Amino acid sequence: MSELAYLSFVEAARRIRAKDLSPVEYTEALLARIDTHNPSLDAFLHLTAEQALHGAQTAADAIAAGQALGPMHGVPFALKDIIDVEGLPTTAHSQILADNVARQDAHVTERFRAAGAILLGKLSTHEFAFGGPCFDLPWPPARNPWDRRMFPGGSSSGSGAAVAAGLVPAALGTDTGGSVRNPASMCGIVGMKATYGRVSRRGVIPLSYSLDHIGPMTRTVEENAALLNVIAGFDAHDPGSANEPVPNYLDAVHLGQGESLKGLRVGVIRHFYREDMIAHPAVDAGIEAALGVLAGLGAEIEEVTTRPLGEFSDGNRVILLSEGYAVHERWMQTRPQDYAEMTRQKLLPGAFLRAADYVQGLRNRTGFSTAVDQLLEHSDVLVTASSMDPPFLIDDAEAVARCYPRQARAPFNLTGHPAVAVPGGYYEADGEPALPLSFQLIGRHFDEATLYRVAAAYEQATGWIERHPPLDD
Amino acid sequence: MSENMNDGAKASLARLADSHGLRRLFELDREAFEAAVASAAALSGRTERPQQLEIEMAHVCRFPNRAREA
Repeated sequence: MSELAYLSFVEAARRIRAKDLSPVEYTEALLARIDTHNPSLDAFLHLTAEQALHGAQTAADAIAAGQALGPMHGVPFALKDIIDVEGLPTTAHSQILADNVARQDAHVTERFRAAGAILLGKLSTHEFAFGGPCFDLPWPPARNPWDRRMFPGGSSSGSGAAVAAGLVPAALGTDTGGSVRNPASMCGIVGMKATYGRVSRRGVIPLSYSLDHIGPMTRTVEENAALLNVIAGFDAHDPGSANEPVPNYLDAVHLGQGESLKGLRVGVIRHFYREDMIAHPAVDAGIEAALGVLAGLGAEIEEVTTRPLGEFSDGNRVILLSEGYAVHERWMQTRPQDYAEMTRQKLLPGAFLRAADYVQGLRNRTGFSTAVDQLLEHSDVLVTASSMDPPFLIDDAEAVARCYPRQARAPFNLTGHPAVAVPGGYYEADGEPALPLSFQLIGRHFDEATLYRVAAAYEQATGWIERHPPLDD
Repeated sequence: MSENMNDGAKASLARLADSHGLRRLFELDREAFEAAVASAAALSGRTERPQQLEIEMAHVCRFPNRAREA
Protein backbone atom coordinates (compact mmCIF):
# COMPACT_ATOMS: atom_id res chain seq x y z
CA MET A 1 0.00 0.00 0.00
CA SER A 2 2.67 2.55 0.97
CA GLU A 3 4.47 1.94 -2.30
CA LEU A 4 1.53 3.26 -4.34
CA ALA A 5 0.60 5.84 -1.71
CA TYR A 6 3.94 7.59 -1.95
CA LEU A 7 4.63 6.87 -5.61
CA SER A 8 5.52 10.00 -7.55
CA PHE A 9 2.72 10.70 -9.99
CA VAL A 10 5.28 11.44 -12.68
CA GLU A 11 6.56 7.89 -12.24
CA ALA A 12 2.99 6.57 -11.95
CA ALA A 13 2.06 8.23 -15.26
CA ARG A 14 5.13 6.64 -16.87
CA ARG A 15 4.16 3.20 -15.56
CA ILE A 16 0.56 3.68 -16.68
CA ARG A 17 1.71 4.55 -20.21
CA ALA A 18 3.98 1.50 -20.17
CA LYS A 19 1.03 -0.63 -18.98
CA ASP A 20 2.97 -1.52 -15.83
CA LEU A 21 0.35 0.10 -13.60
CA SER A 22 -3.40 0.05 -14.07
CA PRO A 23 -5.26 3.32 -13.40
CA VAL A 24 -7.94 1.20 -11.75
CA GLU A 25 -5.46 -0.45 -9.38
CA TYR A 26 -3.90 2.94 -8.56
CA THR A 27 -7.25 4.62 -7.93
CA GLU A 28 -8.57 1.73 -5.85
CA ALA A 29 -5.42 1.74 -3.71
CA LEU A 30 -5.73 5.45 -2.94
CA LEU A 31 -9.48 5.22 -2.27
CA ALA A 32 -8.76 2.40 0.20
CA ARG A 33 -6.12 4.54 1.89
CA ILE A 34 -8.55 7.45 2.11
CA ASP A 35 -11.08 5.10 3.65
CA THR A 36 -8.52 4.10 6.28
CA HIS A 37 -7.01 7.47 7.16
CA ASN A 38 -9.47 10.21 6.27
CA PRO A 39 -11.65 9.60 9.34
CA SER A 40 -8.72 10.69 11.53
CA LEU A 41 -7.40 13.41 9.21
CA ASP A 42 -10.58 15.00 7.81
CA ALA A 43 -8.71 16.05 4.69
CA PHE A 44 -11.52 15.22 2.25
CA LEU A 45 -14.91 16.93 2.47
CA HIS A 46 -16.47 15.13 -0.48
CA LEU A 47 -15.31 11.90 -2.08
CA THR A 48 -16.11 11.10 -5.70
CA ALA A 49 -15.20 7.42 -5.48
CA GLU A 50 -17.75 6.10 -7.93
CA GLN A 51 -16.91 8.67 -10.61
CA ALA A 52 -13.20 8.13 -9.97
CA LEU A 53 -13.44 4.38 -10.51
CA HIS A 54 -15.47 4.95 -13.65
CA GLY A 55 -12.85 7.44 -14.85
CA ALA A 56 -10.06 5.00 -14.05
CA GLN A 57 -11.72 2.29 -16.10
CA THR A 58 -12.21 4.72 -18.98
CA ALA A 59 -8.52 5.65 -18.70
CA ALA A 60 -7.56 1.98 -18.81
CA ASP A 61 -9.76 1.46 -21.87
CA ALA A 62 -8.09 4.41 -23.61
CA ILE A 63 -4.67 2.87 -23.02
CA ALA A 64 -5.85 -0.48 -24.35
CA ALA A 65 -7.26 1.27 -27.44
CA GLY A 66 -3.96 3.06 -28.08
CA GLN A 67 -5.48 6.53 -27.76
CA ALA A 68 -3.38 9.68 -27.22
CA LEU A 69 -2.73 10.18 -23.52
CA GLY A 70 -2.36 13.38 -21.51
CA PRO A 71 0.53 13.97 -19.09
CA MET A 72 -1.56 12.91 -16.07
CA HIS A 73 -3.44 10.09 -17.74
CA GLY A 74 -4.91 7.86 -15.04
CA VAL A 75 -3.38 9.89 -12.18
CA PRO A 76 -5.67 10.78 -9.26
CA PHE A 77 -5.88 14.36 -7.97
CA ALA A 78 -8.02 16.41 -5.59
CA LEU A 79 -9.15 20.02 -5.32
CA LYS A 80 -9.57 22.47 -2.48
CA ASP A 81 -13.29 22.93 -2.02
CA ILE A 82 -13.39 26.46 -3.36
CA ILE A 83 -12.62 25.23 -6.90
CA ASP A 84 -15.57 24.35 -9.10
CA VAL A 85 -16.27 20.95 -10.61
CA GLU A 86 -19.44 20.82 -12.68
CA GLY A 87 -22.23 19.05 -10.82
CA LEU A 88 -20.36 18.81 -7.50
CA PRO A 89 -20.74 20.92 -4.37
CA THR A 90 -18.40 23.85 -3.86
CA THR A 91 -18.99 24.65 -0.20
CA ALA A 92 -15.89 26.68 0.70
CA HIS A 93 -16.22 24.64 3.93
CA SER A 94 -19.03 26.99 4.94
CA GLN A 95 -22.66 26.74 5.95
CA ILE A 96 -23.21 29.74 3.70
CA LEU A 97 -22.60 27.61 0.60
CA ALA A 98 -23.65 24.23 2.00
CA ASP A 99 -26.13 23.77 -0.87
CA ASN A 100 -24.04 25.33 -3.64
CA VAL A 101 -23.51 23.09 -6.68
CA ALA A 102 -21.10 24.22 -9.40
CA ARG A 103 -22.62 24.72 -12.84
CA GLN A 104 -19.37 24.39 -14.77
CA ASP A 105 -15.76 23.45 -14.30
CA ALA A 106 -13.14 25.92 -13.17
CA HIS A 107 -10.40 26.57 -15.70
CA VAL A 108 -7.94 24.45 -13.72
CA THR A 109 -10.47 21.61 -13.53
CA GLU A 110 -10.73 21.71 -17.32
CA ARG A 111 -6.93 21.52 -17.50
CA PHE A 112 -6.86 18.42 -15.27
CA ARG A 113 -9.50 16.72 -17.38
CA ALA A 114 -7.59 17.51 -20.56
CA ALA A 115 -4.45 16.02 -18.98
CA GLY A 116 -6.31 12.78 -18.27
CA ALA A 117 -6.30 13.08 -14.46
CA ILE A 118 -8.94 11.49 -12.22
CA LEU A 119 -10.70 13.49 -9.50
CA LEU A 120 -10.88 11.73 -6.11
CA GLY A 121 -12.77 14.50 -4.34
CA LYS A 122 -12.89 17.94 -2.77
CA LEU A 123 -10.63 18.93 0.10
CA SER A 124 -11.10 20.67 3.39
CA THR A 125 -10.25 24.37 3.60
CA HIS A 126 -10.45 27.11 6.13
CA GLU A 127 -13.84 28.72 5.66
CA PHE A 128 -13.79 30.74 2.42
CA ALA A 129 -10.00 30.25 2.41
CA PHE A 130 -9.72 32.69 5.29
CA GLY A 131 -10.94 31.72 8.75
CA GLY A 132 -9.73 28.68 10.56
CA PRO A 133 -9.12 26.19 11.91
CA CYS A 134 -12.70 26.34 13.14
CA PHE A 135 -14.72 23.87 15.16
CA ASP A 136 -18.10 25.58 14.66
CA LEU A 137 -18.62 24.67 11.00
CA PRO A 138 -20.61 21.83 9.41
CA TRP A 139 -17.36 19.87 8.87
CA PRO A 140 -14.31 19.49 11.13
CA PRO A 141 -10.93 21.00 10.22
CA ALA A 142 -8.21 18.86 8.65
CA ARG A 143 -5.44 17.47 10.85
CA ASN A 144 -1.70 17.22 10.36
CA PRO A 145 -0.68 13.67 9.34
CA TRP A 146 2.70 14.02 11.07
CA ASP A 147 0.85 14.33 14.36
CA ARG A 148 -2.91 14.64 14.21
CA ARG A 149 -2.97 16.80 17.33
CA MET A 150 -1.25 19.45 15.25
CA PHE A 151 -2.37 22.24 12.93
CA PRO A 152 -1.80 21.31 9.27
CA GLY A 153 -1.60 24.95 8.18
CA GLY A 154 -4.14 26.65 6.01
CA SER A 155 -6.17 27.70 4.38
CA SER A 156 -5.50 24.82 1.96
CA SER A 157 -5.37 22.50 4.95
CA GLY A 158 -6.99 19.44 3.39
CA SER A 159 -4.72 19.72 0.36
CA GLY A 160 -1.62 19.74 2.56
CA ALA A 161 -2.81 16.90 4.78
CA ALA A 162 -4.02 14.67 1.93
CA VAL A 163 -0.85 14.97 -0.13
CA ALA A 164 1.48 14.50 2.84
CA ALA A 165 -0.49 11.46 4.02
CA GLY A 166 -0.28 9.76 0.64
CA LEU A 167 -4.04 9.95 0.08
CA VAL A 168 -3.51 11.66 -3.28
CA PRO A 169 -0.32 12.62 -5.13
CA ALA A 170 -1.46 15.99 -6.46
CA ALA A 171 -3.75 18.68 -5.13
CA LEU A 172 -4.46 22.33 -5.71
CA GLY A 173 -4.65 24.99 -3.07
CA THR A 174 -5.17 28.72 -3.24
CA ASP A 175 -2.93 31.41 -1.79
CA THR A 176 -3.96 34.97 -0.91
CA GLY A 177 -1.64 35.57 2.03
CA GLY A 178 0.22 32.26 2.03
CA SER A 179 -2.49 29.60 1.98
CA VAL A 180 -0.66 27.17 -0.31
CA ARG A 181 2.74 27.67 1.30
CA ASN A 182 1.51 27.51 4.91
CA PRO A 183 0.04 23.99 4.73
CA ALA A 184 2.94 22.93 2.52
CA SER A 185 5.29 24.09 5.28
CA MET A 186 3.32 22.51 8.11
CA CYS A 187 2.82 19.19 6.30
CA GLY A 188 6.29 18.86 4.77
CA ILE A 189 5.42 19.08 1.09
CA VAL A 190 6.15 21.41 -1.83
CA GLY A 191 3.74 24.31 -2.39
CA MET A 192 4.17 26.76 -5.25
CA LYS A 193 2.50 30.15 -5.51
CA ALA A 194 3.35 31.03 -9.09
CA THR A 195 3.48 34.58 -10.41
CA TYR A 196 0.20 36.48 -10.20
CA GLY A 197 -1.62 35.78 -13.45
CA ARG A 198 0.23 32.55 -14.24
CA VAL A 199 -2.74 30.31 -13.34
CA SER A 200 -6.33 31.28 -14.15
CA ARG A 201 -8.66 31.73 -11.18
CA ARG A 202 -11.86 31.38 -13.23
CA GLY A 203 -14.31 29.18 -11.37
CA VAL A 204 -12.65 29.63 -7.99
CA ILE A 205 -14.42 31.41 -5.13
CA PRO A 206 -12.50 34.65 -4.60
CA LEU A 207 -11.11 35.93 -1.33
CA SER A 208 -9.20 38.94 -2.66
CA TYR A 209 -9.23 39.47 -6.41
CA SER A 210 -5.84 41.07 -6.75
CA LEU A 211 -4.03 38.79 -4.27
CA ASP A 212 -5.54 35.38 -5.08
CA HIS A 213 -3.36 32.70 -6.65
CA ILE A 214 -3.90 29.00 -7.32
CA GLY A 215 -0.99 26.72 -6.60
CA PRO A 216 0.13 23.10 -6.97
CA MET A 217 0.81 21.04 -3.83
CA THR A 218 2.83 17.84 -4.16
CA ARG A 219 5.35 15.74 -2.26
CA THR A 220 8.23 16.37 -4.66
CA VAL A 221 9.57 19.24 -6.72
CA GLU A 222 9.34 17.26 -9.95
CA GLU A 223 5.65 16.55 -9.40
CA ASN A 224 5.05 20.20 -8.55
CA ALA A 225 6.66 21.30 -11.80
CA ALA A 226 4.68 18.72 -13.75
CA LEU A 227 1.48 19.96 -12.15
CA LEU A 228 2.25 23.60 -12.91
CA ASN A 229 2.86 22.53 -16.51
CA VAL A 230 -0.74 21.30 -16.55
CA ILE A 231 -2.45 24.31 -14.99
CA ALA A 232 -0.35 27.31 -16.11
CA GLY A 233 -1.27 29.46 -19.08
CA PHE A 234 -3.41 32.26 -20.38
CA ASP A 235 -7.17 32.30 -19.95
CA ALA A 236 -9.01 35.15 -21.63
CA HIS A 237 -11.88 34.72 -19.19
CA ASP A 238 -9.78 35.65 -16.13
CA PRO A 239 -9.09 39.41 -16.25
CA GLY A 240 -5.96 38.86 -14.15
CA SER A 241 -4.55 36.12 -16.38
CA ALA A 242 -1.16 36.81 -17.93
CA ASN A 243 -0.55 36.17 -21.62
CA GLU A 244 3.02 35.04 -21.09
CA PRO A 245 4.84 32.03 -22.56
CA VAL A 246 4.92 28.99 -20.26
CA PRO A 247 8.16 26.99 -20.32
CA ASN A 248 8.37 23.27 -19.63
CA TYR A 249 9.09 23.39 -15.90
CA LEU A 250 10.35 19.81 -15.90
CA ASP A 251 13.37 21.01 -17.88
CA ALA A 252 14.29 23.24 -14.95
CA VAL A 253 13.89 20.36 -12.50
CA HIS A 254 16.15 18.14 -14.55
CA LEU A 255 18.67 20.96 -14.81
CA GLY A 256 18.69 21.26 -11.04
CA GLN A 257 19.07 17.51 -10.62
CA GLY A 258 21.81 17.27 -13.19
CA GLU A 259 24.04 20.29 -12.75
CA SER A 260 25.54 22.26 -9.89
CA LEU A 261 24.26 25.67 -8.82
CA LYS A 262 27.65 27.21 -9.50
CA GLY A 263 27.34 30.93 -10.04
CA LEU A 264 23.71 31.12 -8.91
CA ARG A 265 23.21 34.13 -6.65
CA VAL A 266 21.03 33.55 -3.59
CA GLY A 267 19.92 36.59 -1.58
CA VAL A 268 18.88 35.84 2.01
CA ILE A 269 16.33 38.15 3.64
CA ARG A 270 17.37 37.34 7.21
CA HIS A 271 15.88 40.42 8.81
CA PHE A 272 12.39 39.07 8.09
CA TYR A 273 12.97 36.25 10.60
CA ARG A 274 15.74 37.59 12.84
CA GLU A 275 14.83 41.25 13.40
CA ASP A 276 11.35 42.05 12.12
CA MET A 277 10.21 38.82 13.76
CA ILE A 278 12.19 36.25 15.69
CA ALA A 279 11.65 32.80 14.26
CA HIS A 280 11.66 29.66 16.38
CA PRO A 281 15.31 28.51 16.72
CA ALA A 282 14.55 25.30 14.82
CA VAL A 283 13.18 27.29 11.87
CA ASP A 284 16.20 29.61 11.87
CA ALA A 285 18.59 26.67 12.10
CA GLY A 286 16.76 24.88 9.30
CA ILE A 287 17.16 27.85 6.97
CA GLU A 288 20.85 28.15 7.80
CA ALA A 289 21.31 24.45 7.11
CA ALA A 290 19.50 24.83 3.78
CA LEU A 291 21.76 27.74 2.85
CA GLY A 292 24.73 25.55 3.68
CA VAL A 293 23.41 22.90 1.29
CA LEU A 294 22.88 25.49 -1.47
CA ALA A 295 26.39 26.85 -0.91
CA GLY A 296 27.72 23.30 -1.11
CA LEU A 297 25.99 22.96 -4.46
CA GLY A 298 27.87 26.00 -5.73
CA ALA A 299 25.46 28.86 -5.04
CA GLU A 300 26.78 32.22 -3.89
CA ILE A 301 24.96 33.26 -0.70
CA GLU A 302 24.58 36.93 0.15
CA GLU A 303 22.48 38.64 2.80
CA VAL A 304 20.10 41.28 1.40
CA THR A 305 17.78 43.77 3.04
CA THR A 306 14.49 45.32 2.08
CA ARG A 307 11.60 47.05 3.79
CA PRO A 308 10.47 45.63 7.16
CA LEU A 309 8.25 42.57 7.05
CA GLY A 310 5.50 44.37 8.97
CA GLU A 311 5.16 46.98 6.22
CA PHE A 312 4.68 44.28 3.60
CA SER A 313 2.18 42.48 5.83
CA ASP A 314 0.13 45.61 6.43
CA GLY A 315 0.24 46.36 2.71
CA ASN A 316 -1.18 42.93 1.97
CA ARG A 317 -3.76 43.17 4.75
CA VAL A 318 -5.34 46.46 3.75
CA ILE A 319 -5.97 45.13 0.24
CA LEU A 320 -7.06 41.66 1.36
CA LEU A 321 -9.54 42.98 3.92
CA SER A 322 -11.00 45.58 1.54
CA GLU A 323 -11.47 43.15 -1.33
CA GLY A 324 -12.53 40.32 0.96
CA TYR A 325 -15.23 42.37 2.60
CA ALA A 326 -16.53 43.42 -0.81
CA VAL A 327 -16.99 39.71 -1.57
CA HIS A 328 -18.69 38.95 1.74
CA GLU A 329 -20.61 42.14 2.54
CA ARG A 330 -24.05 40.81 1.63
CA TRP A 331 -23.67 37.63 3.67
CA MET A 332 -22.11 39.48 6.60
CA GLN A 333 -25.22 41.69 6.63
CA THR A 334 -27.82 38.97 6.19
CA ARG A 335 -26.31 35.71 7.46
CA PRO A 336 -23.60 36.56 9.98
CA GLN A 337 -24.62 33.64 12.19
CA ASP A 338 -23.78 31.19 9.40
CA TYR A 339 -20.08 32.02 9.48
CA ALA A 340 -17.68 30.51 11.97
CA GLU A 341 -16.95 33.02 14.69
CA MET A 342 -13.29 33.27 13.66
CA THR A 343 -14.08 33.91 9.98
CA ARG A 344 -16.56 36.62 10.89
CA GLN A 345 -14.06 38.29 13.17
CA LYS A 346 -11.32 38.17 10.56
CA LEU A 347 -13.48 39.58 7.74
CA LEU A 348 -15.16 42.33 9.72
CA PRO A 349 -12.36 44.97 9.85
CA GLY A 350 -12.75 45.24 6.08
CA ALA A 351 -16.10 46.91 6.67
CA PHE A 352 -14.40 49.86 8.32
CA LEU A 353 -11.51 50.51 5.99
CA ARG A 354 -12.20 53.48 3.76
CA ALA A 355 -11.97 53.77 0.00
CA ALA A 356 -8.91 55.98 0.48
CA ASP A 357 -7.20 53.25 2.53
CA TYR A 358 -7.73 50.75 -0.25
CA VAL A 359 -6.51 53.11 -2.97
CA GLN A 360 -3.45 54.03 -0.94
CA GLY A 361 -2.82 50.33 -0.40
CA LEU A 362 -2.84 49.77 -4.15
CA ARG A 363 -0.57 52.78 -4.69
CA ASN A 364 1.87 51.51 -2.07
CA ARG A 365 1.89 48.14 -3.75
CA THR A 366 3.95 49.60 -6.59
CA GLY A 367 6.73 50.47 -4.14
CA PHE A 368 6.70 47.05 -2.48
CA SER A 369 6.89 45.29 -5.81
CA THR A 370 9.76 47.51 -6.93
CA ALA A 371 11.60 46.82 -3.69
CA VAL A 372 11.55 43.07 -4.36
CA ASP A 373 12.45 43.62 -8.03
CA GLN A 374 15.51 45.56 -6.88
CA LEU A 375 16.67 42.62 -4.75
CA LEU A 376 16.24 40.35 -7.74
CA GLU A 377 18.43 42.56 -9.92
CA HIS A 378 21.40 41.28 -7.92
CA SER A 379 20.09 37.87 -6.84
CA ASP A 380 18.70 35.07 -8.99
CA VAL A 381 16.53 33.83 -6.14
CA LEU A 382 15.73 34.97 -2.61
CA VAL A 383 15.51 32.79 0.49
CA THR A 384 13.57 33.58 3.62
CA ALA A 385 11.35 31.89 6.19
CA SER A 386 7.91 30.57 5.36
CA SER A 387 6.34 29.98 8.79
CA MET A 388 8.17 31.38 11.80
CA ASP A 389 7.24 28.34 13.89
CA PRO A 390 6.96 24.56 13.54
CA PRO A 391 3.44 23.07 13.68
CA PHE A 392 1.56 23.57 16.94
CA LEU A 393 -1.54 22.14 18.61
CA ILE A 394 -4.62 22.72 16.46
CA ASP A 395 -6.85 23.40 19.45
CA ASP A 396 -4.48 25.95 20.99
CA ALA A 397 -6.44 29.10 20.14
CA GLU A 398 -3.64 31.42 21.26
CA ALA A 399 -1.09 29.65 19.07
CA VAL A 400 -3.48 29.79 16.12
CA ALA A 401 -4.01 33.53 16.57
CA ARG A 402 -0.27 34.05 16.96
CA CYS A 403 0.64 32.11 13.81
CA TYR A 404 -1.23 34.27 11.30
CA PRO A 405 1.11 37.24 11.42
CA ARG A 406 4.18 35.08 12.13
CA GLN A 407 5.01 34.31 8.52
CA ALA A 408 6.88 35.83 5.59
CA ARG A 409 4.61 34.70 2.77
CA ALA A 410 2.18 37.59 2.38
CA PRO A 411 4.81 39.97 0.91
CA PHE A 412 4.85 37.93 -2.28
CA ASN A 413 1.09 37.93 -2.70
CA LEU A 414 1.34 41.70 -2.48
CA THR A 415 4.10 41.89 -5.09
CA GLY A 416 3.01 38.96 -7.27
CA HIS A 417 6.46 37.33 -7.30
CA PRO A 418 6.56 33.53 -7.51
CA ALA A 419 7.39 31.82 -4.22
CA VAL A 420 7.67 28.17 -3.30
CA ALA A 421 7.70 26.51 0.11
CA VAL A 422 10.27 23.74 0.19
CA PRO A 423 10.53 21.01 2.87
CA GLY A 424 13.64 21.76 4.92
CA GLY A 425 14.11 19.08 7.52
CA TYR A 426 12.37 18.19 10.76
CA TYR A 427 11.91 19.54 14.25
CA GLU A 428 12.25 16.78 16.80
CA ALA A 429 11.39 17.74 20.35
CA ASP A 430 12.13 15.15 23.06
CA GLY A 431 9.74 12.25 22.87
CA GLU A 432 7.46 13.92 20.34
CA PRO A 433 6.84 12.95 16.71
CA ALA A 434 9.02 14.69 14.14
CA LEU A 435 7.40 17.77 12.59
CA PRO A 436 8.28 19.32 9.23
CA LEU A 437 10.31 22.47 8.75
CA SER A 438 10.30 24.56 5.60
CA PHE A 439 11.74 27.61 3.90
CA GLN A 440 10.79 29.80 0.95
CA LEU A 441 12.44 30.49 -2.38
CA ILE A 442 11.29 33.62 -4.23
CA GLY A 443 12.01 34.48 -7.85
CA ARG A 444 11.51 37.08 -10.54
CA HIS A 445 8.09 37.54 -12.09
CA PHE A 446 7.32 34.60 -14.40
CA ASP A 447 10.57 32.83 -13.49
CA GLU A 448 9.15 29.86 -11.60
CA ALA A 449 11.65 27.76 -13.56
CA THR A 450 14.64 28.99 -11.57
CA LEU A 451 12.80 28.23 -8.32
CA TYR A 452 12.19 24.68 -9.49
CA ARG A 453 15.83 24.33 -10.52
CA VAL A 454 17.09 25.38 -7.09
CA ALA A 455 14.44 23.43 -5.18
CA ALA A 456 15.17 20.27 -7.17
CA ALA A 457 18.90 20.55 -6.53
CA TYR A 458 18.28 21.06 -2.82
CA GLU A 459 15.76 18.22 -2.61
CA GLN A 460 18.13 15.82 -4.32
CA ALA A 461 20.97 16.79 -2.01
CA THR A 462 18.98 16.32 1.19
CA GLY A 463 16.69 13.37 0.59
CA TRP A 464 13.96 14.72 2.88
CA ILE A 465 11.33 13.31 0.53
CA GLU A 466 12.14 9.76 1.64
CA ARG A 467 10.51 10.42 5.00
CA HIS A 468 6.73 10.12 5.45
CA PRO A 469 4.20 10.73 8.23
CA PRO A 470 3.99 7.86 10.72
CA LEU A 471 0.56 6.68 9.54
CA ASP A 472 1.65 3.21 8.53
CA ASP A 473 3.83 2.44 11.55
CA MET B 1 -18.13 45.31 24.39
CA SER B 2 -15.58 46.99 26.66
CA GLU B 3 -16.86 47.34 30.21
CA ASN B 4 -15.53 50.89 30.50
CA MET B 5 -17.28 52.06 27.33
CA ASN B 6 -19.86 54.74 28.12
CA ASP B 7 -23.41 54.74 26.82
CA GLY B 8 -22.59 57.36 24.20
CA ALA B 9 -19.83 55.27 22.73
CA LYS B 10 -22.05 52.20 22.72
CA ALA B 11 -24.76 54.11 20.91
CA SER B 12 -22.19 55.38 18.44
CA LEU B 13 -21.12 51.82 17.63
CA ALA B 14 -24.74 50.80 17.20
CA ARG B 15 -25.28 53.66 14.75
CA LEU B 16 -22.17 52.62 12.86
CA ALA B 17 -23.53 49.08 12.64
CA ASP B 18 -26.83 50.40 11.29
CA SER B 19 -25.10 52.58 8.72
CA HIS B 20 -23.23 49.52 7.42
CA GLY B 21 -26.25 47.25 7.45
CA LEU B 22 -24.56 45.18 10.15
CA ARG B 23 -27.03 45.44 13.01
CA ARG B 24 -27.60 41.69 13.07
CA LEU B 25 -23.88 41.00 13.28
CA PHE B 26 -23.46 43.73 15.91
CA GLU B 27 -26.09 42.10 18.11
CA LEU B 28 -24.43 38.72 17.59
CA ASP B 29 -20.94 39.72 18.67
CA ARG B 30 -20.53 43.26 20.00
CA GLU B 31 -17.00 42.70 21.22
CA ALA B 32 -15.86 41.53 17.81
CA PHE B 33 -17.55 44.53 16.24
CA GLU B 34 -15.74 46.94 18.53
CA ALA B 35 -12.43 45.12 17.96
CA ALA B 36 -12.90 45.23 14.19
CA VAL B 37 -13.48 48.99 14.23
CA ALA B 38 -10.31 49.46 16.28
CA SER B 39 -8.33 47.07 14.10
CA ALA B 40 -9.35 48.86 10.91
CA ALA B 41 -8.48 52.24 12.41
CA ALA B 42 -5.05 50.97 13.45
CA LEU B 43 -4.38 49.49 10.03
CA SER B 44 -5.55 52.67 8.33
CA GLY B 45 -3.23 54.66 10.56
CA ARG B 46 -0.27 52.51 9.54
CA THR B 47 -1.04 52.77 5.82
CA GLU B 48 1.40 55.04 4.08
CA ARG B 49 -0.02 58.02 2.17
CA PRO B 50 2.30 58.63 -0.79
CA GLN B 51 2.71 62.32 -1.49
CA GLN B 52 4.00 61.99 -5.05
CA LEU B 53 0.98 62.32 -7.30
CA GLU B 54 2.55 60.29 -10.09
CA ILE B 55 2.41 57.09 -8.06
CA GLU B 56 -0.62 55.28 -9.44
CA MET B 57 -2.40 52.22 -8.21
CA ALA B 58 -0.64 48.98 -9.07
CA HIS B 59 -3.20 47.55 -11.46
CA VAL B 60 -2.71 43.83 -11.22
CA CYS B 61 -3.07 43.32 -14.94
CA ARG B 62 0.13 45.29 -15.44
CA PHE B 63 2.29 42.47 -14.10
CA PRO B 64 2.72 40.86 -17.51
CA ASN B 65 3.28 44.20 -19.20
CA ARG B 66 6.08 45.05 -16.81
CA ALA B 67 7.64 41.64 -17.27
CA ARG B 68 7.72 42.20 -21.02
CA GLU B 69 9.31 45.61 -20.61
CA ALA B 70 11.99 44.11 -18.36
